[in-house]
Amino acid sequence: MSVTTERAAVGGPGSVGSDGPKQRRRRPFKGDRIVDVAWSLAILAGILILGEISAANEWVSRVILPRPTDVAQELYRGFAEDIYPRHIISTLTAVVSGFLLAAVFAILLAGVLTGIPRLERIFMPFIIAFQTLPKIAVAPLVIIWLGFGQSGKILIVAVVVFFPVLINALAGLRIRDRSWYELFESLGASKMQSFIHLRVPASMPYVFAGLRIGIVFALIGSVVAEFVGSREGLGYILLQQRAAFNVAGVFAILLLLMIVGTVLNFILAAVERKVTFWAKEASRTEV
Amino acid sequence: MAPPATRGTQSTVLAVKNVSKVYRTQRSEDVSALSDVSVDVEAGQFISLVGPSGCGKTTLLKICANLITRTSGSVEYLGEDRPIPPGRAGVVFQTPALLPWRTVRSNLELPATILRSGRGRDLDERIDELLDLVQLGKAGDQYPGELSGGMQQRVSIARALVSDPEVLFMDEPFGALDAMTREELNLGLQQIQVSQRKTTLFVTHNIQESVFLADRVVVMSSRPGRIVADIPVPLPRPRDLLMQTSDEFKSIEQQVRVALDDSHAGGDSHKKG
Repeated sequence: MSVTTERAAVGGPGSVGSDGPKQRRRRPFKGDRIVDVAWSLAILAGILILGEISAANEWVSRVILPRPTDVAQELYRGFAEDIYPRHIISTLTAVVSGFLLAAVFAILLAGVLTGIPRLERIFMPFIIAFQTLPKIAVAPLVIIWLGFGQSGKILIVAVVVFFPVLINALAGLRIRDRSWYELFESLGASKMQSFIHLRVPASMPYVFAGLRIGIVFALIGSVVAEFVGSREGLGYILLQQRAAFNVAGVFAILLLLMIVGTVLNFILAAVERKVTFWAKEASRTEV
Repeated sequence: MAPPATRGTQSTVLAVKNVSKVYRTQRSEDVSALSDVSVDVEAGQFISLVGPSGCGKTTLLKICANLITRTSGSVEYLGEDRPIPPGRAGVVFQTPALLPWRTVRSNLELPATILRSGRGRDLDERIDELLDLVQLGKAGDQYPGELSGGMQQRVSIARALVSDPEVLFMDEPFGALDAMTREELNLGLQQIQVSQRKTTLFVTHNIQESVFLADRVVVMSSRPGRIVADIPVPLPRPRDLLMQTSDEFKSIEQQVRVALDDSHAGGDSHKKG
């Protein structure tokens, strides 16, 4: 599980203090960045052209790799015949609502558990036990409980998102800096005051590390839910295309999933930058 | 805002009486960090606590600030054995301990928020005053991450002063800074002491710094921490950096050094020479 590596990527607050004002993020020169983008685009174009040539010469069977233009055509047809939008919306709503549901509950639970250490000690074994379970394996069970509808999908997404967010929030809410603790102690702060003014804000880089893992898991969760039992969503039509041996169609949907994932990540990263602008190391890591 | 001076120079703000501290290590061995320490701190007096590292000077400071418990003895505040009420003591730590998600100004508002003392214009004015005092008048809207280490520590000094405390505890506040910044902050702190006359306990292992800032230098020995000398510093204030080259200054510095060496000599004289 990538939770631990993610956590390591988040800088502790202890680093504040020693480094000077020149430690701001250094951006590459603007000219360099344009050249970099040009390179990325050139490589993409190269892959597409190579794909086109290879398909035309039948170097690779079309059942394995479709012609890029066929994929484009599939994409066009999917939107023109109004097939995709319904499924994109279905997947997207399941991902977003499951993600938000899990995030809210995980953060609240982490708050309660760190507030009452005894409760944390009692519940930790359960959390660790569930943490080691591949959550996605719960999907068939959830389908039995909730059926083929949207609610089952949302629950599966919520289950896979819940744990990375919980574990990271628990780590984040712990006070790591002794002098922060002593500062609040010296001011006679109540538990609630140190929770609101210290623990919660200090936990944000950790919480967002959890959320970034969570958003990736959310999309996986939704697609798997659609594989095992659903009549809607990108995962569902992906299976349909496969059944029809329409490889170009499968690729078109993979492309859509990629776009959905990228957009979600982008939105989350933007929110993260707003909230954790003060944590130098945290906002650089991408999942 | 009553200046401590009105209470008369001889009133004792803090009386440390026979304080001992025994730590229990993880292998449940008892380690004596402080042994039978007694100090009186007079109102408005600046006391430097010097000693080799591990001598328990920080432990003593934190016992006085009620941040750790003592094993025996008492710490009297204004004649009674009770902890100093929150807000009546300000603490400056080894690290600035600023909250990086708050601006400098907002960091200075934190004590008032926690103590639920009045906010509003009085606080704003007080913060402006303190920012000027620590020469950060223009940095109010910046975030700690945008400041140098020395500037951050200046903010944390200002924060300790926000509630206009009676006593100031400073735990090696300049230990992590380079020599130049350190001198600059010493000069600044000395000026603050002239204008605010706070009763101050200042822990350091830098002899020159301890003499430059203090009215009294209390020298401690290591393991278990004991007080081996209590040296008055009758140098006039305000002091400037040049004073450190005067014969008077050097002779006091010499006394402190000798006291420190004597305390060493008991345990590990073979290390010398």
